[in-house]
Formats: sequence, C-alpha cells, structure tokens
Amino acid sequence: MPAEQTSQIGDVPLAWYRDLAHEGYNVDGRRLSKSVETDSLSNLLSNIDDRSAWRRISDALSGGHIKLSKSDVLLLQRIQAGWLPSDSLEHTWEWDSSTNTDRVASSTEPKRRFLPSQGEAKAVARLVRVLRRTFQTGQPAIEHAPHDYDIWAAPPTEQPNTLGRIRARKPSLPANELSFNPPVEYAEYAKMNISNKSASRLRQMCSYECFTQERFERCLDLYLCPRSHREKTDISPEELLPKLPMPKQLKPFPEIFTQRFLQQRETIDCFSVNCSGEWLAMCTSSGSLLIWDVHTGKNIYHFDFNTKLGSVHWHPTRTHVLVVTMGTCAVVIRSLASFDPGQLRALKSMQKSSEQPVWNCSKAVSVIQHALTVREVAWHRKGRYFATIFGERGITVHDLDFKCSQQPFAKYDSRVMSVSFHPTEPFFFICSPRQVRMYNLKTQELKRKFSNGMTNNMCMCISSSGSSLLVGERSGKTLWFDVESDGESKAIAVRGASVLSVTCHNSYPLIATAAQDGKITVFHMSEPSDSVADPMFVPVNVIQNSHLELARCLDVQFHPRQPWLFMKREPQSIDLYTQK
Amino acid sequence: MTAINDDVDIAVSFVTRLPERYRVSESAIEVPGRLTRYGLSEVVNHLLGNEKPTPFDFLIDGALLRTSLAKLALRLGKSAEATLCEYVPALQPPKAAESATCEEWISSIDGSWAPAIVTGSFDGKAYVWSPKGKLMCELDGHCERVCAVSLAPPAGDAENSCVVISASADGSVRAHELTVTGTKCDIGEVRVFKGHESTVLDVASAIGTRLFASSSVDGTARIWRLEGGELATEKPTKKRKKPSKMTGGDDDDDDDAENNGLGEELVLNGHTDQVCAVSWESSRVLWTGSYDHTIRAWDVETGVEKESNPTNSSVHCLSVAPSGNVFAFGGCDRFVNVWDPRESTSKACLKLKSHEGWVSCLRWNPSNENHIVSTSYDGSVKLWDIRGKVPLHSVTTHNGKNFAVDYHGGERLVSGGDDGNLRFWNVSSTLDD
Repeated sequence: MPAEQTSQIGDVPLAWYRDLAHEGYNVDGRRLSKSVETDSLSNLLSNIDDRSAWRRISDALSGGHIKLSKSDVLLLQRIQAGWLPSDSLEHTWEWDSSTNTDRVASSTEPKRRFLPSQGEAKAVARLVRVLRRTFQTGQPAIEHAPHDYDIWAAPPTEQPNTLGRIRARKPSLPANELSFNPPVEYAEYAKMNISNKSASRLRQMCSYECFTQERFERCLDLYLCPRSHREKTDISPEELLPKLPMPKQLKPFPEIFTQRFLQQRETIDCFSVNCSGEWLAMCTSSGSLLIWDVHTGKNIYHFDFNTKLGSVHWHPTRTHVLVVTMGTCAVVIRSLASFDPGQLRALKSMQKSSEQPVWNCSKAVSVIQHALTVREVAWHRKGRYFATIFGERGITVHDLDFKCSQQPFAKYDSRVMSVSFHPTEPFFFICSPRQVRMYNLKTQELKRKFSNGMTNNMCMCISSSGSSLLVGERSGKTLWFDVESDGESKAIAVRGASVLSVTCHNSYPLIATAAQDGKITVFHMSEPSDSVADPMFVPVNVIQNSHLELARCLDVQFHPRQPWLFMKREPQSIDLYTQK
Repeated sequence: MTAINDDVDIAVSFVTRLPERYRVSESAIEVPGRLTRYGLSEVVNHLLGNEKPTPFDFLIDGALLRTSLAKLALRLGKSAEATLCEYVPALQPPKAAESATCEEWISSIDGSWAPAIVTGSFDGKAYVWSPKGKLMCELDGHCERVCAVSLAPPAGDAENSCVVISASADGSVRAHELTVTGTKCDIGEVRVFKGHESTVLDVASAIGTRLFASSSVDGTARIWRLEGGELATEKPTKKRKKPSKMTGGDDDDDDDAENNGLGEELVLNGHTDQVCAVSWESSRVLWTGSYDHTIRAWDVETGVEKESNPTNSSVHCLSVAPSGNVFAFGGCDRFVNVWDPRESTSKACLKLKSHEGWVSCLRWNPSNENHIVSTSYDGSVKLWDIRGKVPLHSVTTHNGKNFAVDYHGGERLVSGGDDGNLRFWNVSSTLDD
C-alpha cells in the first residue's frame, strides 16, 4: 500500500476517530476518508463467492483488506502450535550436563562480573578529557598519523638531542678475517693484522690474546671520550666591537687641508691661536715672532727678538695679549701694536738673578725673570693666572693683575712634562712621566693621582668642561681619565709611536692627537646620555704625514671656535684643516 | 609616457626670446636623444643657415642642458613627444684683458660704478682704477689693511662723483668723496666712522638710501648714515688717535670705544662670532653671514633680528641678487650656495660644487639675474648659471689665493688676489650685437 494512503496516526486508539469523518492523516497531513461500510449481507455474499475469503483480513489502520498468502497462513499455524516460526531451525540437541563439571566454571561468579569495569572507566575518562581539551583549544587532540607516506620524500630530520649526549660508537663486528679459520683470500690479511693462528677447528683455538687489551681500550674510549654536544659560540670578532657611528654623522670635524701658513727659510718652534681665532702667532728658530691673519693667511706683524724663543701662548680671553718665553724670561706682551722688541732690552737689563721670579714692567710689556730656562706656559681659563715650568722641576704661578708670582711647589720630585689649570675648579694638574697629579690650590693638598701604573707620560690635556683628562704616552696610547669620579682609565688609541701632543676643542666634542710616526688623529668624543657610562671615542679623521724625520715638529691645536685644526707637520709651515 | 633612453628621438620645438633674425620655426623637430648642447647648437645654426656658427645654450623647463638631451628629459620627467627647448646665446669663456699690478694683496673690489673701479689693499689703502686698468688715485688714511670697499652714490646727482667706503682692520670705516673727470680724480671730504672694536671685515652700501652697513670681528654689524661720522680733515683735533687695534690690554681703551660712537646709527648685536659678510636685500632688510654658522636678516629701521638661519659651515661671503629674492653665500664648505628663502631652508639650498678652496667672494651679474661669478682660495674664478649645476666657465686667474671678484658692467670682470695683480676679463655672450 502506498505511503500516502496509509494513516500516520500512530499507536493511538482508533476509537478517537469513531465519530469523525476521516480516519487519520497520511504522510502529507491530508485526511484519509473512511472506507464505505458494507453491510453483513453483502459481506456474506462476497465470502461465498470468494474461496479465499477466509484468508482475507481487514486492516484497521488503512481501512483496507489484506489477503494472507499460503506461507503466511503456514507461519500462523506454526505459531499457534507452539513451534518455531521457521522450519529451517527445526533442530534439537540434547543438553549434556557432563560438560558442566569444570571446577572454575562451576564456582560462583566473581563479583567483578557485576561491577562496571574500572579500566573502561579510565579509558572513558581519558577520552572525555581529550574531548574537552579539543573543545577548548579547537584543535584535535589526537592526530592520526597518515597511513600512507611518501617514500621518495626527504628523510625526516633527526630529532634534536636535548640532553646533548652522543651515543658511544659501537665496536666494529668481527669480519671474515677474524674467523678462527679464515678463508684463503683473507688469510694474508689476517696474518698481517692479528697474531691469530688459524685453526682447523674451533675447539682447537686458544683464547683470544688481545681480548683484555681491547676491552681495556674500549673502556678507555668510552669514558675518556667526551661524548656530549658543546654549545659552540659562533661569534665573529667584528660583532664584539662596539657599533661606531659613521664619521659622516659626526660632522663637523677637520677634514681637508685648506690653508698653509708658510714661513720660508726658518723653522717654526711653536705656534698659538688667539682666543677669537683671528690670529695665529708663531715663533721661529731665528728669534722672530710672527702674527698671521687666519682668515686670509696674511702675515701681519713681524717682531725680531734676536734671541731664541721658547714658546708663545695667547691670552685665553683678551685678543691681543700673549706670553712669549725666551731663555729664562717669560714676556707678557699687553698690546701688540705698541710693542717694540727694543723695549725688552731695557727691561732685561734690570734683571737680577734670584730664586724667586722677578717682574719688570713697562706699559706694554712685562718681563718675568726666572732662575732657570722657561719651558712651558699654561693659562688659566679666565686669564688672570698663568703657570710656567722652568728648569726640570720648577713650577711658578703668576698673577697678571697683581703682577706677582708664587711657587706652590718648592721643588717637584720628578721632571714636569706639562701643567694645566682646571677650567672651573681651583685644581692644578702636573704631568710627570709616571703620573698626573691633581692638587687643590685652595687647600694646598694633593687631591688625586692619575696613573694606570705603566705610563710614561708625554703630554696632557684637560677637556673644556673639566671632566676629562687626556694623557698621551710614550707607548702610543692616549689615556682617558674621568676627573670627577675614581674610575679606571681608558686607552682610546694604541699605536706604536709615542704621542707628542694631545688637545681638546673648546666647544666641539673633538680631540686631536699627534704621534711621532707622523699620524694626526682626530677623535669625536661622544658624551653618553647617562653620566655613569664612559664617553665613546670615534676616530673621524687620520691625517698622515710623510715626513717622518721631522716628527719632532708635530704639534696640533684647535681653532677656539670653529671645528678647524692647526697642525705643525713640517718645520716651516703650519697647516689648517677645516671641515668640508 | 614613453621611457626615454639615448636611442630615442625626441621631438623638440626650439623657442627663443632673441630678436627675429635668431628665431627658427617653432614646429617640433625630431632630434636624437643623445645630442648634447653642442649638437643642438649645430642643429639650430643649421636651421638659421648661419655660416659662422653661434654657440647657444639650451633650457628645458628652466634647467640648463649640460648632459645629453635624453638624460635631462628623463630627469625632468618629460615625455618623448614634445619638448619645448628655449635657446639663449652661450656665454663665451672669459678673455683676459688688461692687467694692473698693485704692490700688496688685493682684499676687495667694487666695480659697480662705470667711471672707475675701487680696490682695497692689504697695505691700508684703497685704490681707484680707470676701467682701462690705469691707477687713478690712492685713498689712504687707514693704519691697517683695508678689508672691504664699497661704492655709494654721492649726496648730489653728479654722475661723475661717488663715495668710496673702505673698511679696515684698524676698526674704522672711511668714506671718501670722489669726483672723476676724465683720467683725473679729485678727493672730496673724508668721513671717518668709528665704533667697531675690532677688524671691520665687510661693508655694503644700501640701495636707494644714504645708509651703509659694516660688519666686524667683534660680532656686530653696524648701520651708519653717510652723513654721519667725523670729518677727517676739518676736525683733526676731535679725531681720536689712530685706534690701536689692541683693545682689552689697557683698561682705558674700552671707554674710548664707547664714547666714540659718532654717526653710528644702529648696532646689530646677535652673532656670536665674527661677522664676515653683509648684504642689503632692500633698503629695509640687511642680511649678515657669520663665522657662527648662521645667516641672519635684520630689520634696519628697528634693528631687530628678523630671522636666523643655520648653515653647515662658516659664511665668508654673501650676496643678495639684484632682484632681492635669491641670494648666494659661500665659505668654508667650498660650495656656492644659492638660496631662495621662500623655497627651502638655508641648509637645504642649491649647492654648486666646483671650488677647491674657501669661497672668498660672490657677485651677481647686474645685467643677468641668473649669472653669478665666484672666486675662491684655489685661485680660480668661476662663472655660474644658477639654472645648471656645473660652472659655465672656470679660469685660473691667480697663482695663489683669490680674494675678490666683481662685475664691471655686465660683460667685464675684475679679479684680484694675493699676487697683487688686478686682472680684467671680458665675458660677453656670443651674439654679434
């Protein structure tokens, strides 16, 4: 019967539909009309006519009739008789009670048969856990390995050995030649290597004589050979060096040669740039003092002293005042325009030899007479005081305003290389070959010693801020000391030749050193942002001098305001390097 | 737009502002892209039918052609289809003309006056030369070298007279009235302006007013009225003893300097280092360049600093174009810097690189606003067109350092340096008329 004709009312009493016009709903929800009731007479007549009417039964669900087949009738009869419905299973067998005599089987059922399995409970719990994790993370917790794999693919990479151990190599297995009776083709080889006599039978073999030795060596191999991975540090030496900025980024600094102040026929002994940077003074071997205009390179003044001049130093704040040393005198020239070297003669004749420096003054000139030859002059930043070194160990400090002198150190204990004032504090630095000493002039006591123990100092320079001390030494190093804190020194350049001159720029963070091999190096000193770290020195320019035999002439000095460098590389000229 | 390489033919239409007889048809002509100035000049001469070729320079979009046509078109982003190319007569290389010898180094030259040329010299004198290079007279009075000279118009309208302002290392500025009749030269009244504490490095007379500006090593620029100062001849008693350059050594020097500010109109304080160059933009605005790596503009009426522009290095010379909008400066960095303040910062201006020494002097051509002449410590004089980056011409004029150069008229150059020779050069364009 088709589905649309079948009532889909389910297992409900048919009495519910007795009074209704329909008898249920088909699968589409349409009402099924009730079959027309036939009266019992017509039923009887139809049953008489139809021989198979006894096999016809009415189907209450569909309202139609179903005709039972012969097999259906047979099945019903078998069921009614209490037989099995199908005759194919019509076999019976005797139950043999003798099989029930087993002791174990006959024992009572164990309790665990009636309890839920704990192993299964564990397995289920594990699966639940896995499923929960899967829901939380969104990834399948169990990944099934693919059953098929690519045999031509690259072999899987070896798992990293996390323990870092290497398995010991297995001893090589005995080969043919180690046989007790090696084949003929191995016999020769066997004789050569092993003192093993071949035997025709194994029982005729004596014990292997190298056994103990080989085991011992094997043990030695095992425990002496370090079989672990070492973390190799693969660092190139360049990486260890600090990252220096490019010189291009550190502009301005002296880069290229610009001007030459050439003094023909005479050797220049010393030079100095005045505080405004307008003039360059130099003294020559023949005893003349020359003043040049820096901007145009023109010689403006020429003074003949007719005696050998030691050095010349401009006043740090006044543009026209300078100190010239000659022999035992230091001459302060107060006004260049009205200065005449002839005035000196009168002043020098008034001299009298004395241990204390003596001042002889006129309007334009002051002559300070020392007991010994004056070697060096160092000005205080403010220009009131200047210090002179005379002889090997004498140091005098002169007061320009009061025209008097004093000797704070009666006799210094070693040769004095150079002296310097601290730019802001009342400190005084004395550079001797072994160390640099810093004295407090106010309290008159030794404040600090700067030395790294091995020094042989040549020259010294205080930075314009007064925080750094730079010392050039004979070994070629330039040492940096922090004046304000007791830190270690720092060698900023190491090369073979001794450093003859070191100088700092007044306003730019520049340092220049001149070495005996003719190299002049300009460094950029970058101050760190925090005061704890040391400054970084970057060599920005190296100026090579080819005239090695003239190395004693080397001297460098910065322009006071511009990033320019004056250098004496050759005996007769001063060169000016400027930024590009 | 098609990519341009040297093999491409470029359609060029030649235009010019020259007279009618130098004009060619403006219709586009296909020329090979590899052509340079010379090739294009040949093309134009061929079109003109000139027997004697006239060299031309070519401008595309205001840029001077110095490489091949294709490269310039590529740089300017021009398409290969149609390029408008303006041609102008090329500048001939400077030809050496007269030469005169001065005993000392020549520090400065002013050739802005037709009847005479004035030079300042290291022997403390200013010299007046005729345009033919004959010495007409010497103006002395300074006790130190003369660092700068400048010419100012006279009080009256006399065409043959002029005021020569000379600045000296003795800290004073002198103004000589000069009248030239033929080859004779009469010196009128001389005024002395004192006030600078140190060497006066530059002096410049203003356009249209009776003012001039001076700058000094003491870090100031000062603006003076030409009628101010002291009369050097009439009041010798009031005139201070020759100012000793050496101030600072003696205490009374400083007091003298303060009392002595006669005729001084305005002191422009602000620079932290010596002021090397002054130049007037107009009668109201003054520009100064200094060693402290700045260029500053000053309002002359109030004396207030208008702006301060940093530069990469010290400024040694500064020159405002006659139009007043663009100016050129040079110095330690060896560039000729051409700067339009309206367009860029002074650090990012047009840098013309060719000199191998400090640029010591720069002047604009009075008749062509695109041309500059520069000179340097390398002894060369270079002519520039600011529309190109390569010098038009370069001549080595002196053996040593060159300190000064100036135009005398639009077609004549005067240069001087540390060999003491005053040299004249003819620079003319190539046209016959």
